[in-house]
Amino acid sequence: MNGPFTMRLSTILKKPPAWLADFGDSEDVVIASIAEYKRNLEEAPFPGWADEKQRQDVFLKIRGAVEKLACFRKGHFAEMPSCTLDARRLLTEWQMLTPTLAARQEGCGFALSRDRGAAVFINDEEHLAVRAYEHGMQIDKAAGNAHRILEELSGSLSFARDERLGYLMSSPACAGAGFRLSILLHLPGLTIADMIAPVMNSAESLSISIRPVYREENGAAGHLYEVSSVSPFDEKESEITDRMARVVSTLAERELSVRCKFVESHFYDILDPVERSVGTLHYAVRLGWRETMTALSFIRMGTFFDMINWSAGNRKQAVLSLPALSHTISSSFLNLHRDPNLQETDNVDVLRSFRVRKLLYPAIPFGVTLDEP
Amino acid sequence: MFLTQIVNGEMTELALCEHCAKEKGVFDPQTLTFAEKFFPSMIQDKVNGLLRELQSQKKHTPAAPERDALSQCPVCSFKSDDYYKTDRLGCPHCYSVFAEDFTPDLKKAIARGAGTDGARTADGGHAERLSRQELETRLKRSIEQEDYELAAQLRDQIKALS
Repeated sequence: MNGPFTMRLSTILKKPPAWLADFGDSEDVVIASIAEYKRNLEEAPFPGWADEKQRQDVFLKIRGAVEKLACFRKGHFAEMPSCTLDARRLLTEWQMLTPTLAARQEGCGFALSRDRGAAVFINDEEHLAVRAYEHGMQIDKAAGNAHRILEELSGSLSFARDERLGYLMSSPACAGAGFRLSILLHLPGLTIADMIAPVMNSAESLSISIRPVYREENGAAGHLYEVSSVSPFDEKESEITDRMARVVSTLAERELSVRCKFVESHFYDILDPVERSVGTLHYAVRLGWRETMTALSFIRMGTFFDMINWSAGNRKQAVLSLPALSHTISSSFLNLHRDPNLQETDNVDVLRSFRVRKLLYPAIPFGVTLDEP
Repeated sequence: MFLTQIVNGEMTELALCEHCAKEKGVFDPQTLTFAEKFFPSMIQDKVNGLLRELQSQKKHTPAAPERDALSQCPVCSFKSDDYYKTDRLGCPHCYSVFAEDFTPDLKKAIARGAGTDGARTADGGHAERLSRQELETRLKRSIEQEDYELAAQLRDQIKALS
């Protein structure tokens, strides 16, 4: 029996969380907001330096505190060894684990709330990380939720703090507010216009970091980026929130203006990849993950300009299904949900194409109506 | 390229990239066999010279200060050497043991923060002002420690004073 945590991991892995499987805002630019607080317990070695026994002590202490929280009741709790490799990968892709925690074993774990709008990581880079998720640009709400959970936890846990430096982290460069905001953005316009590199280069001077959501080195799959705050030591939470709101609003405006400018001046250059993507996803038999993500991104952008000619009556459902589809085509998801009747050797690229064919709504070429001969 | 030298029964191995080997003016991989064959004594001298040079460089590399290498956190046994390897500390207590001694990031943080040393004088953020002499001393120290970002801030503060 797992205490008050009654939700099974298999249930969590069935579909992406609601805040991620959504367009976020009406323009499909800002997908989700994530607020995170990190803390370390007093008198306990940091996770990277602690031995297994010390980690286990911290783990049990924090688990005990999390068990008391109402918002995690009927949620899920796991110690890392109980998670398969594919489950860890998928949770990391869905932002519900960090790559560091996904690689850890005994004495490290996580809790997820039943609605998957909040998470607690134990013995990740620091002893405790509290995350709250919201769809779209809702950093205030996400920060408020994360802060509430942290406040409740601080009733039974004492955190390491220094008067001058703020909350102490395993890396001295990270000491301070122990607060970070991340916003997931869909930026196909800026990517096509080759404007991502200059934006990334100027990120440091804005005290932010921009990187592909899946941390790829060869460009962001699906044109998905994560903008995070890199806070100077003495920046307050409210200042971080204000700064991030300004940065994200500027990026979103720029993305929309680039998209609109492209459609006005290079309509067919935009229509071409959109229509090719529809064709590829409907007819290809082997679909790589990156290729599928890029095609779905173009289709999402085409939807924004009403370029996709969805079959009659399907438009609304067709559009609403797109974000969830983008998050359920990775190899880890396909492996976890592999049809047991299929041969073990079946290629994951083929499985991906079957899934996309099944879930992507039919569309006819732009400018053609079904009445025409 | 890898070189193995045996002197008085003691084996020494050197691993050099081609660029470094050429830069040292010692070995051209294309002609090594030829040189070894016809001028073994010359090669021997050069290998000895290179070994001496590398050893002396090793001695003078100012990696972790010796004093820091000896310090250890009484709570978690973390050594300052470990910081150089991992960029992280062992436990919250490490901050009070030695972090300020060798962490430029932390020094910067303290200097920038709402701390008590009044380093944030350029923007008038502190009532207490550091003297020009003290700023110059700090500037010198930060240059010695190769903390150029802090040095630039201190330089600006000195400029602002004058």
